[in-house]
Amino acid sequence: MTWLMRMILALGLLLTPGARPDASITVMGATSLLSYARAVVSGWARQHPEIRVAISGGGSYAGWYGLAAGHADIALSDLDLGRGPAVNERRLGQMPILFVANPENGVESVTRRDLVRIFSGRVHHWQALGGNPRPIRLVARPSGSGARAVVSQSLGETPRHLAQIIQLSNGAVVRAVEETPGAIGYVEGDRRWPGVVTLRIGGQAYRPGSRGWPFYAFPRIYWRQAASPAVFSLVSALAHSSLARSFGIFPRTGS
Amino acid sequence: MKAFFSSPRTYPQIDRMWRQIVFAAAFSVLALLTLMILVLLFGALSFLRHHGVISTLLGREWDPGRGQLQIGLFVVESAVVAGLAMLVAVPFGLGVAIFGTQVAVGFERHGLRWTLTIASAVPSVAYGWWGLAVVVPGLRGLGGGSGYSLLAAGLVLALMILPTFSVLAMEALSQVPEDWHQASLALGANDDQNLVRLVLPASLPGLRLAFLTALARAVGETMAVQMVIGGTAARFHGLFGPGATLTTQILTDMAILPNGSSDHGVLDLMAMVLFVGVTAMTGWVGYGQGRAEK
Repeated sequence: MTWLMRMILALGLLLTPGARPDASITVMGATSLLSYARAVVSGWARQHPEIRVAISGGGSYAGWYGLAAGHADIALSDLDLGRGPAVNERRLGQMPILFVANPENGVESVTRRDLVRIFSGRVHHWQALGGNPRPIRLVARPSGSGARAVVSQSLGETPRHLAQIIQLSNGAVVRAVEETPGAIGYVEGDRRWPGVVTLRIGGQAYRPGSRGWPFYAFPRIYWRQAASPAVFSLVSALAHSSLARSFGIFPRTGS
Repeated sequence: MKAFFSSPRTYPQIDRMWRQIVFAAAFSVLALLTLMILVLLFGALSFLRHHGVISTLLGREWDPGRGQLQIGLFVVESAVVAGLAMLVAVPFGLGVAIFGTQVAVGFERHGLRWTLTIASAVPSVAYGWWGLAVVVPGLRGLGGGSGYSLLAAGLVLALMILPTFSVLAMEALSQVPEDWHQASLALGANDDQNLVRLVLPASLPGLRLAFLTALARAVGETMAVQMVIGGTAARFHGLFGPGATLTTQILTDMAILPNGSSDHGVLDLMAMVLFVGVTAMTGWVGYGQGRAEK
């Protein structure tokens, strides 16, 4: 029985209050901002070892409702969710939305009008846009996605009768576009994805800080006004981190 | 410890403690299940009270952003995908099980059983990945669409449930006593007659259980299906077109209908529909088994 006693003693020591951090912060929300939040938190947590930070996704709405219900201390969003009572908002900057297409489509540049025609189903083949004779296939994000909100707002809603392929993440969109001839989709962030063509819009390729780029999401963080000093500190770290650019979040250019 | 377990003495206090532990385990499982059903039921009923039963369950308009929350299309597409999977997996799996119990011997039989057991433990995301790499491009070449489709989901699910069904079916077929085989053969039956008139009817209860387990796994699977089905929730685009099942749509729209949002109840309702569906199938299998035993 001595082994059992030893095990119980070891578990007891592990679970003593001294081994646990004093407080915790929960960050919740848009999946497109999770990698950025994780990178910032890992640096911030080294300076605040007494505070445990939990980060979870679920989407912008989940973060917002989590904040309202008290399950989350900081909500991440790539949608404008308005401003609730006793809630602070901070804009992080802007994230470009890039359109990616299958290389075999034969089109590397489109106009905004072309995109409207593509996403409204008024043009069905790439040939009509100077490309190869392939049917156009739309790859989109689900309803709660910030990227979809920006695209729908700019280009109009895609008619419901069109058979879109819905993917849950940027990576899944890129994979579907890469492997499906005729496919076009959109992703958030300034990453260069191999295997797909990042389309120029009106002849312009996206460059960080470019004023003329027409598709941006504006990520935000929300937190309660009555938050603890630790929450304010983490909010400040998220708002001012130099890591933002490497995750595709740039200062607003006013475009 | 060894002395304790090998001792012929009885320990009434320890016996009582063990009884309490196993009772607590059984009770807590029942309590958790009841709690889960109650939470889903509460959310589903309060949603139905505001949106209507018939239009919600039979309607096909789905657009959470505009408050259109009718789940009829997902019920139909869930049934189509699960039906396709069973249509492929059951005959094939039965063939595997018959080979494994009636034809293969020694190393072949053990090797087959071991392989199927390993395959049934492979995480569903691996089947989904395989579906993306093989099934989706294959169907793209065959049907001319994008490849993301109800058919792709059905085929991936078929492959996923095949090992589970085969292992359980092998187990069922091997339960027929050897004496019965010998008696049947002694009466002049050939191998085929032995299989069709003795082995399959005698192992029907076990085969029903295998069928139910495979079906429940097919209906409840989310990740592998989500990876290849395409996720379109607007209308039925045929077997070669994209679609969505109850499970994949719960996963997709958790982001826009999180806990606390006014229409979150529709996700509870979708989970409840799945639960009721699987329970009804279990009841049907139990009823069939009861009649067969009579």
